Amino acid sequence: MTHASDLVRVKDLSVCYSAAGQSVPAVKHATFSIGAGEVLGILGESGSGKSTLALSLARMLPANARYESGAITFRGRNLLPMSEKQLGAVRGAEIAIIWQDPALALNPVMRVGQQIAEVLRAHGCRDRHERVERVQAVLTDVGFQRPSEAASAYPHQLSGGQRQRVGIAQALCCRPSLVIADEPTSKLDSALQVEILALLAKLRALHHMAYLIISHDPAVFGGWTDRMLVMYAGEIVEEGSREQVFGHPLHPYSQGLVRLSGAPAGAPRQLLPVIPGEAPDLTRRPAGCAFEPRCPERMKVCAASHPAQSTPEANRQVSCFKYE
Amino acid sequence: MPPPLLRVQELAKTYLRRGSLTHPGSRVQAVKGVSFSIEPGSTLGLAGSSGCGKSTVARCISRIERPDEGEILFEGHDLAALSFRELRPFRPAIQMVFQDAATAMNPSFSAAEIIAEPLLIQGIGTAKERAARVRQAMQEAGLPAEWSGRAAHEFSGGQRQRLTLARALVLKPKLLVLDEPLTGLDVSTRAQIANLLLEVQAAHGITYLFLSHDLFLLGHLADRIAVMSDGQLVEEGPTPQIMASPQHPETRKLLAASGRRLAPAGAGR
Repeated sequence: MTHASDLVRVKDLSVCYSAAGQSVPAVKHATFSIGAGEVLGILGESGSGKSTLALSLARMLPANARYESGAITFRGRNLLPMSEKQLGAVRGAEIAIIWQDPALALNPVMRVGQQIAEVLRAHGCRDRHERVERVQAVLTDVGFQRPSEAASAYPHQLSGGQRQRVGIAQALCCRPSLVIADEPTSKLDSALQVEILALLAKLRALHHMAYLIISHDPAVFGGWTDRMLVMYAGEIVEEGSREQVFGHPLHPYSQGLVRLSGAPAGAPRQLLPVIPGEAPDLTRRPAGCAFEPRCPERMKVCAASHPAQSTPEANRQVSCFKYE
Repeated sequence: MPPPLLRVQELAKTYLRRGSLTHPGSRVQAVKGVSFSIEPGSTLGLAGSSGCGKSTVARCISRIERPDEGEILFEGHDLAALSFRELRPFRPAIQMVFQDAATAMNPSFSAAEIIAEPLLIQGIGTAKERAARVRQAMQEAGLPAEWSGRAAHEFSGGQRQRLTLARALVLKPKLLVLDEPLTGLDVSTRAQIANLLLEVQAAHGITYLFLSHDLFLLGHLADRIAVMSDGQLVEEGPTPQIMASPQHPETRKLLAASGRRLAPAGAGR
């Protein structure tokens, strides 16, 4: 669904990886948009294509990835034909990424203040004093009580939660209009997860940025995501508002995921609700609906042909024969 | 009441933090005065956030580490006092499952070799008997027999965790120490493996010490929950009681963090 105020529009995007002489489709015919200041969540298991979809928005896919079809329009400009030089001005300044593992994303032999200042300099902040001030301001924004102390620390001197705050500061220092966060809390324990998600929500309110949040865990989206995409085997199988998708999921896969995470803490030794089986091998995709082998509601038609996208309610889409 | 399978008393462990040119080394007390016991066939959930010392407790019980002080009474024998040689006969009875299944396996081994390795180390059985036990362990862990020739990297995350479980089960242990075994997994895989652990326990009566920061999961898996903070045990009790009326602030904090999961995400802001 697209609107006039859209910041990003993705239209019919398909991405393939070539591996061992084979072409593996990772994203198939994805169409969606993100409005200015909107928080869009992508929910899916590992291998569902959610990270590929998110990274393609920053044109940061590895060399063996190929854009098969489609267009990615950011503020009216198509990103796919852009040169690396043109992209350099967009990445970091207008589209920023918060990485899953800040320990891998930060340079271990460089003070964190310097690493944030580097981003500022790359995007045109020539004055050293201004850079120092902006680094301190952004470190304060992400919750460091003593920003100058934090700025002079090396990554290994910080805890996991503090390193993720630095990662967020680095992403936000140029005031981007879109922030992509791929599993921003999956390396943290549950108490820290809550803190970091609250921080992201606070910063969004402060700076009016749009977020694309990716996770396998429905709990990550609670409370602050506006709209949701559910991905399975490279396809968007459901789209709707957070209340729609979590309160009243339509696709059997979304229904399974919501049951999983919403299960109450029962008596000890009670079996948890599960989605049986595993996600399909993308090189051997089933002919019909990719979820058919695991679906509790499969029908004859599901194995034979692929469901089309239908719109059972306003502002809502699902790919399932139940709704055709 | 049967005597406990494991009784830990006043366990303490200090690590030496290496210094640098400008900073002298210092001692870090990872665990101090920790006591608890586990009844045979039951599950104790050991909860706490990262750095609370729960992994150190687990490593002391598995005797990967030697505790500085305290007793680890396993069926009446104090493991803390034994040398590595004296520990050998006890090793098969206490097995550990680690969080990161991929780094806990030899990448050049096939699945069957990975599972058979503990039997070889312990010198158990003939080649034929070992093969039979490997097949049985794979079946119990929900791995198809025809995957025995595959290498570890050909398995998905959930399948690799099944593989480490099969490797622990092949020795028919009495106590399984599980250190955050579900943390790196997708939500749907996590539930599958949690249910598998419950089924294995029901079938064999194995005792579990289950480490996690996620009280929601422990609520399903554990009969009792012990909460650690800053190297000490701060609260212990039956699971329903801990979940319903947590007393210590640390327990409440952990519960609030996993409470985020309890409320369906669509329920409101």
